[in-house]
Amino acid sequence: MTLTPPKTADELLDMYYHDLRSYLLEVAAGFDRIERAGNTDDHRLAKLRAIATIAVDDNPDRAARLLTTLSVD
Amino acid sequence: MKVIEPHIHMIARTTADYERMALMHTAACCEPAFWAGYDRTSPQAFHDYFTHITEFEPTRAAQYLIDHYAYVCINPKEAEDVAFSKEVISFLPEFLDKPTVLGIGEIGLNKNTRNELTVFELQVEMAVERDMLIWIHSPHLDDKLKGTKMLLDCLRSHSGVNPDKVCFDHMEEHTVGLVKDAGYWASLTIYPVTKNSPARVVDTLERYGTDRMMVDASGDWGPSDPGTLHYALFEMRKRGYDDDTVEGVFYDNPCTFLGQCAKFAHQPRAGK
Repeated sequence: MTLTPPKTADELLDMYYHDLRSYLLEVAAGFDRIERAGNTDDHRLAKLRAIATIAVDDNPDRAARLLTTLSVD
Repeated sequence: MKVIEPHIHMIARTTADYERMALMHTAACCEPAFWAGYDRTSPQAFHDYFTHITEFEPTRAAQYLIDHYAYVCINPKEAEDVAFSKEVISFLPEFLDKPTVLGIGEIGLNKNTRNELTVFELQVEMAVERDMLIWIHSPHLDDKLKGTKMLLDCLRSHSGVNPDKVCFDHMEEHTVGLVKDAGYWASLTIYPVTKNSPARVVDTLERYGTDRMMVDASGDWGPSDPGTLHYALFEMRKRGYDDDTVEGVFYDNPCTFLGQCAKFAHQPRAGK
């Protein structure tokens, strides 16, 4: 049986807004860092771009889909 | 509020960590056998290791009023050599009979190889014969989903396995449903970078419920912290859950799973 979150979506956004802002900023700065150093065609960079889109898309189960995308067959 | 740490490698931690855990109301901890950061060079090295976690660690923990329990096994990272593994398995019964050993673990897969699976099966059979608990290590990172499916398929072919007595550890959002649907226990490991965060642990509890779920810090010699278990507890309280629900996850549930072994001295709270 799932748990019913005691807090509302707005309350949760208040709680996590600065964390999420910080994590997304780290992602953006990381891509900038690699690009400044001349970039690379390492396949892991494409993987990171792919999962970044999952993280902010409009569908549920983002974390599970992100991890599944990274998984080997 | 009392807490049970179901998975931690205290051999790699300082005595100060026992003290911190005690100050955070940890009543008991469990230490499954695992890799030391290097491959051991002989079966005798495993014998020494098992002696350490079944004799010295319980004594060290007792100074902080923490009951220390262990699981023994040949772990998946050192299970590629089947002949070597069989030598280690040959002396497991000597340790399984000790008063603080609850079962066999952490067994499982590392690189998802045939030899690892062979060694896993041998140890599952030993646990089933002795009706002991099984603590399973699921592979890390990108190998986790495939490895978890392989382990579930393998256990499905062993009719003697009681899912009540088996816990899959290091579960994440893409594997926890598979394990719970098959009737097994699942544990969520908190690691600073490579596993769950405290917030994701609470997310998963919301999504999959608290039944048959545990949380652990799995502290070892790498970047990890026994305190993260208590951060997750605090995260759950910050999210508005009442203390009864929180203690159910962090104390009653491990008591229920571990209490299936008569050697485990703690019980869930009355009525739980």
